[in-house]
Amino acid sequence: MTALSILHVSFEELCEFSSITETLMVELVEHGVVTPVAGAIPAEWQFSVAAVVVAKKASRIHHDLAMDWESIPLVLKLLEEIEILRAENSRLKQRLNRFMVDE
Amino acid sequence: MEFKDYYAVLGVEPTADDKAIKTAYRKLAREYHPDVSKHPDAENKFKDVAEAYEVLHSAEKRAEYDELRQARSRGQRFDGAPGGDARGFAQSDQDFSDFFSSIFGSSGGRGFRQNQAEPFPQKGQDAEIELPVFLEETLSDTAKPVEYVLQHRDELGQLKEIKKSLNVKIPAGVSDGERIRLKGQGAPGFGNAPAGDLYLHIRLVPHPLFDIEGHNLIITVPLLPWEAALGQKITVPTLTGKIQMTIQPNSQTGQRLRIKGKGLIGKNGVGDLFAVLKVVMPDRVEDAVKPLWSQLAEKSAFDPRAEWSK
Repeated sequence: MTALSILHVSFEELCEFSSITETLMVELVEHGVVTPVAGAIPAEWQFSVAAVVVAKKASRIHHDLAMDWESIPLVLKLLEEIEILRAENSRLKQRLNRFMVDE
Repeated sequence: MEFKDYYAVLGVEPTADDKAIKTAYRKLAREYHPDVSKHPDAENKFKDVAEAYEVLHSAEKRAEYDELRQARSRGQRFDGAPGGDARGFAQSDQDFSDFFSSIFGSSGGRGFRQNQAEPFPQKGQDAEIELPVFLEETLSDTAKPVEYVLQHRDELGQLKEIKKSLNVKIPAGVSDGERIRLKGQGAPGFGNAPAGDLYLHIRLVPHPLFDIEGHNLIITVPLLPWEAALGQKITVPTLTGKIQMTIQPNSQTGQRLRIKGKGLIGKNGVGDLFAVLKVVMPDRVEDAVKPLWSQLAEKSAFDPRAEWSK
């Protein structure tokens, strides 16, 4: 069977999927943890699927690591940067290897 | 069934107080939580730690566990607590072991009441899998078969594996790390609630020839010293075919030549392909050409290490 792939979710869905209250989610948006890709007010907000993954991660870290919500934006920012740097590092290594001779 | 030593899992003494248990848990959680850890077995390690904490930080569960533990040290065989399985069925967001379920029932996970007698509707668990995608496949919408296995606890608390296979449309221009959500393709829900969703985590497979830089591609072009010196017409592979390219005389290693529109599909249009030149020596210097290299050595005044003597 062919599954329907979905690229966007509503504000309501984002809150539901990540078990985060609407009030708290608005704060996460204000902190730039997740950013709507469209819509001017919460009821019209649309988020990318990546936002669901980030919000779920925020929820897990808050819960599993017993971490205050105040620290979550910084933790997520740092985790994201690590991920970007790791990806960049592996791409650069791949390019560097093109100029290396196997011993 | 193997008896689990939750105290050993957290690395605390059986006499440890609540504070010591909490500290040990937080330390191990920071080390093994799959969201923050690169440990190869992070997920399983964290599951063990979370399960141990779930039992030891609740006075009620800890007392029950301690009782079993003491009975065991008196030589009684462990068969699970009587009637444990019948207590609940609900899916928790944390999948605990059979050992755990045998004592506390499978509804003992966080956020759920124990001793739940009636089914209540609850959405199925979401699943996440990595999907390797070839660069060639990102150039147009592609249908890709996806197979995965869901771990699912059924209404009787039995852990079951559900094999799923789907055909998924991957939109053109997907990038590394992107997510795609497939509604209702996760684990089944309970009590008429909808199934969970499947999240695909796109991973671009490293290409033997092309490297990625944003939505541009890079290909390394090996050139002979005389090709770089005199110029040469060469054929360069692209992601979709081949292209003719002229190497100018006096070319150098590290130079980038742009081939427009032969990159990946990006958010703002198609990227370019960059040919990066790399001058290479022949495998070995043959006797027949050795005199020619000697002649070069005599005639060329170029000093490649001029920077060092400044």
